[in-house]
Amino acid sequence: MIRDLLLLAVGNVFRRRLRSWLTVIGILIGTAAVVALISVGQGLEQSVIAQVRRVAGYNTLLISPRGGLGGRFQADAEEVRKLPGVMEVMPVRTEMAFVDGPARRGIMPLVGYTAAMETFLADLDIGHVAGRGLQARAEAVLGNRTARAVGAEPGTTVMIEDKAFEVVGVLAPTEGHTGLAGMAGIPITDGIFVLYEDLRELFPGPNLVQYVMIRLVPGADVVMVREDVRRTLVESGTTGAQMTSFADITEGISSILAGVQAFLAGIAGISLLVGGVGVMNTMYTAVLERTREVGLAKAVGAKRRHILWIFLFESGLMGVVGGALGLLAGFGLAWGAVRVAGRAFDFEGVFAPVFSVELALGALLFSFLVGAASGVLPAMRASRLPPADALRHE
Amino acid sequence: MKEALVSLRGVSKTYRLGEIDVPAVRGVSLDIWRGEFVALMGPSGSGKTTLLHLVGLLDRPSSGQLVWNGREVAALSEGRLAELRGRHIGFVFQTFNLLPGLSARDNVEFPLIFQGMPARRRRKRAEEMLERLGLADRASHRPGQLSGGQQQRVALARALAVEPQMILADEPTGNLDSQSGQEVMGMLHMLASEGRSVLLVTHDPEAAEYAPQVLRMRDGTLEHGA
Repeated sequence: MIRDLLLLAVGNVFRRRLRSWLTVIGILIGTAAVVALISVGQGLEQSVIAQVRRVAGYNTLLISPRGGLGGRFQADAEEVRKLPGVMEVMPVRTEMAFVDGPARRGIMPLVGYTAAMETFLADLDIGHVAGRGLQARAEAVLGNRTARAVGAEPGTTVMIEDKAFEVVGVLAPTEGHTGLAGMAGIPITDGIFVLYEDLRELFPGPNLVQYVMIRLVPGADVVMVREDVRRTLVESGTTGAQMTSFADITEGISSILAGVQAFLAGIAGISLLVGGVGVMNTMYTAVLERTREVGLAKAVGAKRRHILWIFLFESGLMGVVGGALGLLAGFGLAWGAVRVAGRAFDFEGVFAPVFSVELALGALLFSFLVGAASGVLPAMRASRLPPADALRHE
Repeated sequence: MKEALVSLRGVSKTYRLGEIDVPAVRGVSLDIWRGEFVALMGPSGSGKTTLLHLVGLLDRPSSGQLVWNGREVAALSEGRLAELRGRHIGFVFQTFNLLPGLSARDNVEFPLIFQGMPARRRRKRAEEMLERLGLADRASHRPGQLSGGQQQRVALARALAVEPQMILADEPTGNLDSQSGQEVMGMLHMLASEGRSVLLVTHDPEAAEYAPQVLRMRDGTLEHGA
């Protein structure tokens, strides 16, 4: 019997084609919006985390100044390097230096370069557009924008703080990746790289750094090494610094993104609810228009619940169809949005939307529920129509 | 003595319209026997349609006793009433009340769905009924493609589909030309002679002639001396 009622419902929905399509469109749009937002959001999250992990992995510690940007602290990188479980220590020290080049002179950031930094830059796929890397003292590698501004290329000599340096390389231009290096305070495109020893010589005094990145040996006991590092730094005189692991940062990013996503999805959800209101409207109209039909059905033996089922099936069906089509539309929308955003913000198509089975099933289920729930009240009204009145209805 | 199929004792029905009570049927007592063909006549507003609805279990009396097949109707739930209607009663209306989107065959099958009859048996029964009423070749047509007389015959086929004990016809010839009207009345007469009860509400005297028994109603009560 349920199958028969379902078939009756399907027939009813298909017969009123225009009206049904208009109703379905409401659910379709709402579902598409939710699906697109969630799949783009998840893609973004995965991409950001992948980038972070590519550089840092889960076994990296970041020592940063307490009190935010601009602070500095003293750190004894050598002592930390000796600790068990520590693979690499990269101090990041940038000083503003007076640079005199062929085309221009001015104050620019000078970055101290270590072997650890080389690995870091390599992991970010930052290569050279000309020349080679630093090998000896009194050599400099320029960021892309700096080289153009100063008018230098490999072979040129520039004066840094009145000392002569030979330019041996120029870095490739980067866009999307600077964010990550920027997090560690390294000006890739606007800076000048010299060996750390050169930097210390130009700026004598205590070795005050902006950041220290510590890479742990894979499989090391993170908790224990964290404690060792902390103790070592404190004992060697470091104050005004705080330690974060990239795992903490990743979790922080994830939870922020999740929060934003939930908020946006909630807003998109509103449009889905509006679609539900559309279903409710259509079904109430249907009840009014089909009063005689219902009266007849009851006259020939239909019980209240039969009428209820028929109307619920109709609204649920419109929900599911809207949901299925909205799912497809949402995927298309997500792909399109990512490509447009990639072009507009120069992301080079860095991330792809994530389409999970859970999202698809969830969207279908939710759209069916919205459809069915919106149809409940009208269906109840239909089922309660007294047969005699219904047949008397004009 | 045989028991009547339907038995009314002092049945009244009052409607509430806003603040006013409108008595449509007042204190009607009546027996309808198996195989009896009764016509109910009266001016509009006399309550004959309301009485038909009460006998057809489409509505409940405000007071009085209504017994169907030995069962007092007041004690039955909505669901039970629907079952009784579906199984024992067939309706024919002035405006046919066919479902416009369904074929003639599907229309005739319709009541059988709610009896839980499986699809194949339903189809077979529907085709038998249409054949009986001379509409076998129109089985796939929609109501919009049928004449008034043909539509009413489909409605009759639908009423017969459940093999009811009683047919209730509310002005069945009202929307028909005289020839179609005669055809339909002839069929109703034949059904009665086969043992089905027929209650006919009409104000067409020619239609009423087909019924051996004619009752008149006025202002909610039956006039005696029929």
